[in-house]
Amino acid sequence: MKSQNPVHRAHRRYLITLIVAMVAYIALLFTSITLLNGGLTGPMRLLVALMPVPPIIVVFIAVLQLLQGVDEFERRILIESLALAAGITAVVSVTYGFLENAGFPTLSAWWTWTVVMGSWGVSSIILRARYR
Amino acid sequence: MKNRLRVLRAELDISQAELADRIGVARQTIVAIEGEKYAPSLPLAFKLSRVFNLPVEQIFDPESAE
Repeated sequence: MKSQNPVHRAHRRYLITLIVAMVAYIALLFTSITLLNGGLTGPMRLLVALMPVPPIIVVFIAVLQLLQGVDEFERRILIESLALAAGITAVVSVTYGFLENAGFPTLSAWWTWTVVMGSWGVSSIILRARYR
Repeated sequence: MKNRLRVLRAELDISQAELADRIGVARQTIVAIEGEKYAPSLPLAFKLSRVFNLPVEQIFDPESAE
């Protein structure tokens, strides 16, 4: 039987959306890479390169919906962990930017994504443990 | 914020999960309130008040509020 608890429903909806979006992301990513390696040129190359982006936008919307669907305490943890992740990413990326000025190798923008997701995950774990 | 939630829940013989379902929150939220790590909003306090059929000030200790 499905739970009537709105928080459980919000979590289930988020999880289902996340799984579907990630499956779509992997499929679109492989398709995109295959087509790009096939030597596609012109404006189509740009469109094909951006193919994996829509599922990422779906995940972003799913996080916003999760924020609306959870209870006040869960929302607080979610917002605090996202704020921490944003702050950590800002400090790390700016710091590395200055190190690049000193000759450090230029990193791919992909690292920003990695730092955001990593710091969000770690912040969530620490905050949940703090309130236990 | 100090409260009698754990005692009142034991008197009603309901689990944290059951209480969470009754007021539409996650069990983790009940854990945080019972552990006095989180002070609920007024609407949530009134939901708890209805479950235990007690005024809010008999569930939460207003003296302990910061």
